[in-house]
Amino acid sequence: MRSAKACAALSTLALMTTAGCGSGSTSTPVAAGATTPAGTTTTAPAAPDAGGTGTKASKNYNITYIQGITGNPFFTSVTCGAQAEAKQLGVTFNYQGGKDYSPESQTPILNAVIAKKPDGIIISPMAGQAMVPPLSQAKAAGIKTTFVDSTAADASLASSFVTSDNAAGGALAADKIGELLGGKGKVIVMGATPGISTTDARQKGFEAEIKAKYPNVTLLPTQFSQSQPATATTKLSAVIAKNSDLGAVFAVSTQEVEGVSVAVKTAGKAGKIKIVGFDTSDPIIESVKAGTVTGLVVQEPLAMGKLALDQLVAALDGKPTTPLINTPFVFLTKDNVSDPAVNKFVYKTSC
Amino acid sequence: MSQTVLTEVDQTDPGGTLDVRSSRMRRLAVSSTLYIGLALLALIATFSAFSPGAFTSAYNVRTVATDASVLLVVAVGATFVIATAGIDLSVGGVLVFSGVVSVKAMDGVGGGSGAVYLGLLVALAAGLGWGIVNGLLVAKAHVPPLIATLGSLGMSMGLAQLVTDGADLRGVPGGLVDQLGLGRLFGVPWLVVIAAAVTVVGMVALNLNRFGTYTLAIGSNPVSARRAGINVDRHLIKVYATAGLLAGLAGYLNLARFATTTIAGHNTDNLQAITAVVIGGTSLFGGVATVLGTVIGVFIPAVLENGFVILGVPPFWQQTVIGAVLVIAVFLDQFKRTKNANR
Repeated sequence: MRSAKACAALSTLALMTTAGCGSGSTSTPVAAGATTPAGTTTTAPAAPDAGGTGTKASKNYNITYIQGITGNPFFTSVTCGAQAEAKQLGVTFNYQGGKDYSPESQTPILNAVIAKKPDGIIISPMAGQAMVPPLSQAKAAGIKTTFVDSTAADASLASSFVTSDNAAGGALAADKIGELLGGKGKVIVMGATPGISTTDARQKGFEAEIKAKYPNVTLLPTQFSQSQPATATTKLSAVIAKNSDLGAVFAVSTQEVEGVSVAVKTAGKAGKIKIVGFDTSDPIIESVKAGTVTGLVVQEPLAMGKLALDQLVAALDGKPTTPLINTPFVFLTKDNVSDPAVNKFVYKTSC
Repeated sequence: MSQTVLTEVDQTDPGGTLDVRSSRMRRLAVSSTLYIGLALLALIATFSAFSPGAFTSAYNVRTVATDASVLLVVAVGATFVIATAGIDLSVGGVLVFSGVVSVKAMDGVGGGSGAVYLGLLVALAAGLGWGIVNGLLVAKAHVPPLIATLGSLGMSMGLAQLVTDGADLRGVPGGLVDQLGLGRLFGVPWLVVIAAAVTVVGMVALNLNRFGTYTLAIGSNPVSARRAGINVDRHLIKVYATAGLLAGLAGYLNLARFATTTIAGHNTDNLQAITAVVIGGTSLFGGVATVLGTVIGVFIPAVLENGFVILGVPPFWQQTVIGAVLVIAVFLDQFKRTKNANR
């Protein structure tokens, strides 16, 4: 009898602990938003100064940023940019995040933040339609919102949306690959998890640009890694087995870049099969320096965080806001990785 | 025999009912592995026929085998755990955690050839540690294995993310990647060699060694096993510790392959390992296990995925068809097993 009760007690305790800590990431994380094409030619206009940059806020507002997921260099950089600007403007800033790229993880966090009644929320919504109900509740509670990197289906829920134009980023990668291949050869896109708007936009932007401007480049059918590096490796190895003359790969986010690098190195074709990726991480920068990865399309998450905070403070101060701001890209290669003008774009893992 | 069932404990059963059951189970076991093996050969033959140059090329065989090695190492450990009628959901987290602490250690001593061995020791120790925690929770605290290993999955993955802020680490020594990750022994990739060695040791431990016999006895009937004189608690701890140790080794091999920790890519490792073990013929209810079956179970999904990409099957169809083929392969195997049982 006693051991049964003890067993039940222990099981309950274990269950509660597990529920509290989360059983690790149960869904495959999507490196959404973290990938922005890096191009030396800035394709999107620089974000205009929307009232509030440098000028102090009229009140010490309480602002929370809800990241896409925690522990991702892209979202960490957005946070760092917003945090620095918050100090400049004299507002209180903190942040939260879910553990995977899903509305199921993000909604409870958003609800908890709404319950604390901040003045403003910055958020990177993890789903277009599914996040509308909790965001509507925030609006009803009088909380002002700005979107960063991804948006929700109802754009009127936010005063501003700061993002990179992912389709343009994909097109930039296509142009770079077209140049590298001299206008002809075989190319493949390694996609992430279909259905994530940012990586989908990059893939479609790339495919459209190749079809439009490079008729002699053969585009092989896109493969998907389900956001796991090991799957990207397996799929690309199979493609290389079938197409030994593969010329280049466009990897839509960090997981895919890591995966395809291994496949290309194992095939002994590092440098021969050109890899153009999206977003950075420490191991990927090493691959760029080693020559395995030819170039990266890099976003400007620090600027995105700063601008999102500016827009939110402007909305709280009752000043006009800009509904859509596109931030530029940088194309990072071995040649410019040490250049401080480019290096400042490299994502941070902590502020 | 490729599959082992209980025989030594028969001595304590004068009625002989265990004896009949064990030999019948042995026949089922043999036929089960045989049929699932034939299913794999049929798949290989089909893909080879449709795409001779690409599918059967030495490069492709090497890469499929290499890609399967890390999972195979984990799945061998899972075979023993499932043989005790337990389950280990923590493998992905332990793998990642072991990789993370290993990189930190190797980076901490500044890289170099000695660091590589230190990294291996640290990875194995980390895996062993988590395995022992699992074993203690299951054997001594009587927490059901599902809950215990779910908890350690969360803890190990969470700790790994705490240490790294969630970002993949660099600092894996280049020598490790070049020689272990990419290097070969007489043309066979080192990762495959190591996975094969682990498999052979696993087979010996399960079939020719007391370790395997005790494992199956506990899975078959823990009360009888205890009465036969087996220290069930200590053995369970050893089994979960082994699974943890192998997950730690897999974490180290993963570092060698990817040159980084790939923290975000191991969420479904536990499911993949369990799927491989079950496809291979090991029973989820314990008492019947086969390491050779696990090998086949690892390769069937790998061959399917590889073959479909080479054949150019559209990606969304791939998932659909792989799921269907898996069900058919195991169904045919079960069908034969039921026929044998009713003879």
